[in-house]
Amino acid sequence: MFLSELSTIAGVSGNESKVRDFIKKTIENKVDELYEDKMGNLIALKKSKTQSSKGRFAFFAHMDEVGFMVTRINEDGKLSIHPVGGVDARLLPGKRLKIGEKGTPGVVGLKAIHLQDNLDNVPSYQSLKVDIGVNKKSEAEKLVSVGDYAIFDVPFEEYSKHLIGKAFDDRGGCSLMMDLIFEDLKLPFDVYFAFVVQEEIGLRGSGVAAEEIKPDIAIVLETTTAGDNPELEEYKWATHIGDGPAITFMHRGYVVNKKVYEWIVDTAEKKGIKYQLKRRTAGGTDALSVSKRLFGIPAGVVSIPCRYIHSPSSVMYKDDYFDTLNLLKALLEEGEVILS
Amino acid sequence: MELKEFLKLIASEYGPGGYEENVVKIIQENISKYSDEVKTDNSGNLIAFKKGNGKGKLLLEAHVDEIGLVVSKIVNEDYVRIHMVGGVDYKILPGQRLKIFGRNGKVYRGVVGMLAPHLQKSSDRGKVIDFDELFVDVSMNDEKPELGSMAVLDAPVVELGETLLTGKALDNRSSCAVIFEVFKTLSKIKHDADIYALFSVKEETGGVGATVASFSIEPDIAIILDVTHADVNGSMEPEIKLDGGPALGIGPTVNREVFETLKKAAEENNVKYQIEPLPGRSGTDADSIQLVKKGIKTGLVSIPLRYMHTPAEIVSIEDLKEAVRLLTAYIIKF
Repeated sequence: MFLSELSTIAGVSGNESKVRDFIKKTIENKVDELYEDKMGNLIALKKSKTQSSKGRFAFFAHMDEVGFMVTRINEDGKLSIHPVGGVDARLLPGKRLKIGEKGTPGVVGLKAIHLQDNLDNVPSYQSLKVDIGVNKKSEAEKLVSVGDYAIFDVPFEEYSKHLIGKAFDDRGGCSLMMDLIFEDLKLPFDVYFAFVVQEEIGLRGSGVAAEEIKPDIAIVLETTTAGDNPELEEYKWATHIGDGPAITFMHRGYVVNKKVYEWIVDTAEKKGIKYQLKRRTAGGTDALSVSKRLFGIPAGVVSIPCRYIHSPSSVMYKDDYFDTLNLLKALLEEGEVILS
Repeated sequence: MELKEFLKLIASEYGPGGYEENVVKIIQENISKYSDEVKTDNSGNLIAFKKGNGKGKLLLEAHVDEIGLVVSKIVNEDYVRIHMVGGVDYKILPGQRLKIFGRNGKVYRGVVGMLAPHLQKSSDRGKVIDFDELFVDVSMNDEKPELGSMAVLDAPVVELGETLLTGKALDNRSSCAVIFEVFKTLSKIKHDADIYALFSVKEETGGVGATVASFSIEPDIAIILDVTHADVNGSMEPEIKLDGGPALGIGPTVNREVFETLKKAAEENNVKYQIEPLPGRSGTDADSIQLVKKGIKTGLVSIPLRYMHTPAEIVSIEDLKEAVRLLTAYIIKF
């Protein structure tokens, strides 16, 4: 598992290079081909030794995370920011950020509780400003620039059964692909691994990578929302941590290819791997963009369930990660069924 | 220990109202060698004493407690609910990591959860999440916190540029650090007055500690050290600036002579200072100390601070240093 490293790297959509460099450096001796396309997607190939099946199989996971961009440096030296991808403004008051390539520290200020007329004014990107400890625009400009990306400055934490950190969506998927690359699997066919960019701003990287790879079948690996909050009745949960990989039958804009979906579920059952179905259809994945490429690529989605994604403190259950990994290994070993 | 390092150390330690003993212990260990006597009282207040020539009794006071949270309901194995200990704005909590302190010194992790945007309904969006709906995920702990466990924001103090510090509990550990530094300085100079340092408990929850300790010390003059809002925009708010030096409070809760002497001490020694008008009660321990026994003459010196009661409080170490110079000058003058 590479989440401890992957989680703390800054890689907001459009600025994934540090994540890409880390992955490249880590896997380069473990793959048969490794290259970067025009979009910045990183594509790795593991060749089958047996070539018992002629098809091309591809995994996709996105390297980018949600975050912020500095849109304005104000006269008083404070920064205005805009979210990159979906980050709820209500998460921001009082949080620490790292800004730009140098990781300049900043905090999101909030007027003291003593001075607020109405405690229930909803924080918004219009009202929140980032304080980097200077009072003048000219001083701020020495530290940051308009267009700088920013992330939550939070550590990764490991507990006996859980992990806490930012960017698990979708460094979890990236880590799964890296683990698969490191496993000495008997592959019946060539397997491509696409570490893609710009998922969080509208599934933009994966389609281009699909054109490059031309897979016969694709599986998108995600880290998906749990939503098993205490105030939500169980029937409203999307997934539940601890219940194993979440398999998607449909999400926004895409009904998962029936043959692929059934193959994933059948394999989990056959191998006795714990799994759950994702029980909400909100949110999209790169399966949507991949499925529209070429003549239509059959695409499935397997996800690690995770609490509070897109927040600075996502919570993942380690066994869910490893159950997901086991399911993916089983799929690869059983893969001839689907490609024949 | 150097001022900045000492402040980082004590501010990063936890100590909400009634549970200040860890912070008190660190201050006690460090201030002992600069004091003639150090003790704690029944309420948990720490009192350090530095002998002068018996010419008057001066009290320097700062509260040690910080805002915090308490586990108010166990929902199930995975979740607990919380309520505030002192004035906590619930808007700072979503996504925040907490340190939860259970019985027998056990420490737990808590994560204030928030429904991901993907699952929010439009009716969830336009509103603030208050203590009724906030929840804390404690699933990652092998053993779980109990009802009544105290918690603080996990935001240890770090540097922001060369002179600023940011993090939790700078209200009011900044003042504690100033008094500690003053005691260090006193060990090198002669002073007439007997000096008492009071690190008092439970200010944020009502100011109990300062009252009882002042009762036993019975000083002639008490200088209260706290923090005050800096760089607030709004026509009614006093214009207190970070890096503008300590703010000298003026108003009914402050003795006019003490104020004038402090101001004079600042001017004579080129200490940067600002004046903070306090048209009613000050919201500090000065309010209660002034009324102890037959009344105590009070002065109020405040460290400018941004974003009070959030994990992103900011102070300038320069303001703390100026406050140390001011108090030292005042003591020499006393």
